[in-house]
Amino acid sequence: MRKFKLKTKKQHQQLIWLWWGLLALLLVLIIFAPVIFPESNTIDYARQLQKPSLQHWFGTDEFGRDLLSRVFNGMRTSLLYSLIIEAIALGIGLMVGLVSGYMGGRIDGFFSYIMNVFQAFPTTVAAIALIAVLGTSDLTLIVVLSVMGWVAYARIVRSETLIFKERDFVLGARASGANSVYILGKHICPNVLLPVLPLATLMIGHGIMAIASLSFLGFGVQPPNAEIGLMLKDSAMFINRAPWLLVGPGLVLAMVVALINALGDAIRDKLDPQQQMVEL
Amino acid sequence: MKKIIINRIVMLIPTVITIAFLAFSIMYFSPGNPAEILMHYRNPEGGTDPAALAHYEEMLGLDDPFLTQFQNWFTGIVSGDFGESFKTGNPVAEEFFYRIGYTLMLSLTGLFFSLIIGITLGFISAEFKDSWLDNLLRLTQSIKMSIPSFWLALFFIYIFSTQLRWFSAFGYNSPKDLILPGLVLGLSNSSRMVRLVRTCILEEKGSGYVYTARVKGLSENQIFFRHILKNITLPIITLTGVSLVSMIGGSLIIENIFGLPGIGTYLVSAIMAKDYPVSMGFLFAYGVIIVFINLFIDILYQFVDPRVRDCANAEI
Repeated sequence: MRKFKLKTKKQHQQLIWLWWGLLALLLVLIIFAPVIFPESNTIDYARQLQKPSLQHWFGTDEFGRDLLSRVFNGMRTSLLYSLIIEAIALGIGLMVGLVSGYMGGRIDGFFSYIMNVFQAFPTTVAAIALIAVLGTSDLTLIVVLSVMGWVAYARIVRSETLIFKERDFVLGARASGANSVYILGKHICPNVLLPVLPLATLMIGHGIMAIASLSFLGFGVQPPNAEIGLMLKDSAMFINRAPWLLVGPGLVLAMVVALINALGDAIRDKLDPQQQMVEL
Repeated sequence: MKKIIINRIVMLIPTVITIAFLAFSIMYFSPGNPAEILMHYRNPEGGTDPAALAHYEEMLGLDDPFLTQFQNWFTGIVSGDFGESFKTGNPVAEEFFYRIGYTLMLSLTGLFFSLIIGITLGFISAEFKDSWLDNLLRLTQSIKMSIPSFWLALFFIYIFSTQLRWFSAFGYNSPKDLILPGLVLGLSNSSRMVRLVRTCILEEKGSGYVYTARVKGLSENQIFFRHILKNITLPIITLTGVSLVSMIGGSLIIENIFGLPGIGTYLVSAIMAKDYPVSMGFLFAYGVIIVFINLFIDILYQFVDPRVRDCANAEI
């Protein structure tokens, strides 16, 4: 029995290293996509809608462009946008959460109300409403998803701030005459950032999915730029003639998001073993 | 508890007004002149006649200040008048009530599938905890979380429509056409249900009253149906409400892929066509529906036994 358990644990470790290796490989391919796959926009009507082959692993699209190149170049755009979106959302969420939690009273009431209103809308619907006003462009996409994304961060930061503002080191700083801005920046902010980390990781995956969904509807990244959702939208038109075009983009997207989610889970388990116990 | 519920209901009024405000902003803040768009739809060959344009501008009340325009629109909405579509001239409310049925039917089909999948798999996962089956199911759930619903939809269309020809790939002719989109919607929203059912069952199994029941000599089946099931029903219902919200949001994409005549398809095409009355009315209605479902969930949540809340907390 004991031997069996040890073996599975070792296998488990190996599996984890396999995951991280895969994530690292994918990230390298995505980050250096323009160097590794420079021909993502080369149009060649002689090789339209080809089946996967050794030259074109995922096949070619209706313009004869190599789909594998486009997938990784597209993922690069998605990942970059997602990181920008999360940075903005985290920034707003951090500010609102810190101020709301630390000040309390009416300010807290006001921000809590705003957060409730924001949460009343499903993200897709709210995003589309904003896009209707701002028009479709990549910048709009970033603005819209940042505006929708900060609430989750603000909630966590606010509840953590509520805990930390009663702690001795904060009370001590206040007693020694430090002002609120200093206390928030120096003492509370570094402490609330850590619990936000797992969420921030998960949200990168969410961001990539949201970008893909909106692009699929035609509201996100615009052609001729490559993006997974956009590629799948185009491929869907050839579902009878070239169904293999659906495989590659979806597979890479799912793999990247799954690995980022796994990373988020791993960070959470590391930071908060208690949570792991509850989840059984 | 009463205080919380009353507080939630009172909060409803400013929330609904804010939603109306946001929805109305679409027409007001969009670049371009709405009257020109309306004129173009009414009279495509009319060119740009300034007199006609002035007529349409006055009809829409574009010269009024923002708050007056908003007030006019909002009082119309309250009395059930959502205005008329720029494109077709049909009353927006009529279009909405015609289409909401399809969206609700789709969401309920999705809910049905997600409940069946969630409860069955969650139960199996809990029953065979830590076995290979449990591990496999949990791995599947986490992989499923990273598959976009539209990809799943296209995949299913390929297998069940173009290859097996069991269902039609596009459009709505009979209730049968809801099965495939409903299945996609249910599948992509079932992960949380599976985890909730699993966690709740396991948590209940480890609790004191189950131990007592076991000591009393009840069989495992009796314990499950008489005690555990009774206690986990309310968290499941609450999560069902949460799922309904995300399904109404998710139906937007699914309707577009399967060509169902629901509000999502119409909203997307209205926004593309700059048909402002439709976009405003539909978005407002969307928001209000979601707010009411959320209110219902919040109230329901107050009735969930605090001892069961722990397992529900993680998911709801």
